[in-house]
Amino acid sequence: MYNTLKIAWYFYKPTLVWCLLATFACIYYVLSRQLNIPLAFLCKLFSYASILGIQYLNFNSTKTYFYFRNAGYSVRRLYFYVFSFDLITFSILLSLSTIR
Amino acid sequence: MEPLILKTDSVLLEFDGRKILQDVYLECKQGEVLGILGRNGCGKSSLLRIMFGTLTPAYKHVSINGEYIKKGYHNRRIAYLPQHNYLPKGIKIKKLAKSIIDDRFWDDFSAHPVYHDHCEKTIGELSGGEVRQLETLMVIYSKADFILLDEPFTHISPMQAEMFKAIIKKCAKVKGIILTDHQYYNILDVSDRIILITNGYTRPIKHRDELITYGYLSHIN
Repeated sequence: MYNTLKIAWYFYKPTLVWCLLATFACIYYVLSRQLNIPLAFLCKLFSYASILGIQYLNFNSTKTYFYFRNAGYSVRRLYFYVFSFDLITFSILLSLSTIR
Repeated sequence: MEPLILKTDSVLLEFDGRKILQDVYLECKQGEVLGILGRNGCGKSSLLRIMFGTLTPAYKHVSINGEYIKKGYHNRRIAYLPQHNYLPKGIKIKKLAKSIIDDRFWDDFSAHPVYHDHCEKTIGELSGGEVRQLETLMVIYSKADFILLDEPFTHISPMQAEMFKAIIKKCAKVKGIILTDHQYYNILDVSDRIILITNGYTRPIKHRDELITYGYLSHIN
């Protein structure tokens, strides 16, 4: 379990900036009433698609997938872990910031 | 414990209607080193990637002790050294190594100068040669039951090649190792058995003279 968390963290690190940017941008637009909550989630999901696209186009990123495979993990599974974690974090932050 | 046997059979790989691999059979058991030779573009690297699970052919049957393996890397059954660099940047080498190195070989690995001298650094701080050396060591010493090495002797000095051959021999006592390289003399030197890929077929090589017969070599030194 600990090894899975470590590997997932190494996998998450290069996308962290993009994930945080999308999270804070969505929360900002929800707070300034330019986005409603369902639309914010839709934007967040769209940001995941963009991150996947950037990773795919960045040839160096796809090369590093071999490290994770050699550690015994499929890339699809790792994306599922990190995006699930990120989405849960986003939901919690969004809930906290919209509590009145 | 009985040694595991990795079998690859009935591989059919086509690109644009051209059959690259069509009648492939190879098996490797733990405790041996299997060398694969073949001309450029004959499908050596593709075959390794098919076994590893990152290339999907029209048909394949890969198994370990009779159990069908869809993706070789699942549950660390197979590790693979690609031709390109693969270690992620921005993470300390020590952290990267601890997640994949076999505990039985940790002392050997950690005593190696390229790890010992640079374990607190990240990949970006090492030279190209050092990175390649580290990547090769990390695959050979990994926890996988079978190790696939794609051109481990390319871009390294003869001294390093000798060192890798000794390590491969040592690790092959408990793992199955399949490797390919254009430096055929290193492959012949380190391998227990040789397979030649020619016209999409695998041919077991019993005598080195057969490499001339099949047109892979013009002469043997």
